[in-house]
Amino acid sequence: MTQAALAKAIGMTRQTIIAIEQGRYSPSLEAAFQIAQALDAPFEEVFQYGDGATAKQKED
Amino acid sequence: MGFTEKSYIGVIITTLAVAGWYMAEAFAAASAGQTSIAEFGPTMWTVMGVYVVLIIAVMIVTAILSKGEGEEMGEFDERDQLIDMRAERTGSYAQSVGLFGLLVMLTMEVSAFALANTIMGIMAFATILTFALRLYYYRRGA
Repeated sequence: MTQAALAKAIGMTRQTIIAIEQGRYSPSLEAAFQIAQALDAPFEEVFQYGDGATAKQKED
Repeated sequence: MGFTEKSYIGVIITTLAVAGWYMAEAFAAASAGQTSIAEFGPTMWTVMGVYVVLIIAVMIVTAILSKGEGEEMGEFDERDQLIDMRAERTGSYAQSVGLFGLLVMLTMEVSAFALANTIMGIMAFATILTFALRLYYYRRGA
């Protein structure tokens, strides 16, 4: 899916999608869920916090 | 760089140019001893009118230049709103400080000419600061 198509699917501008990908902008929770839904992927697969490892993974 | 950022650069450059032109006119008038606000008023209104026309022209030119890049013009999503709010907030702080200084000038009973030009300066500075901050947040992240 192109940036423009993703932007159109969730009602954002392509510049915002680029900023999200580059880490220059953190989307709202609603927007983040819409992105995951548009990409047809689990939320955790699309967005990770910090180094991306879950608490359980760090524990292991 | 999208239409939004290009338009902000255009506004900053236009405001700087017009403000510089206006301050030069005001300084020339003051140097010549022509500090009657009634006489300088037409110059003030002319500059304001020119500024509005130039800003409109800058927006049209920027829109034409951005059209071929497939940019979304007129779309304002949550990121745009956040950047707008943050920049406007800081710009309003600067304007408030300027207005406070204006109050101080009023208590010192300075001339209407000085007051009017100070107001113009405050508005120009706040505008430049607001748009510069918008540009900064777009480039570095909100």
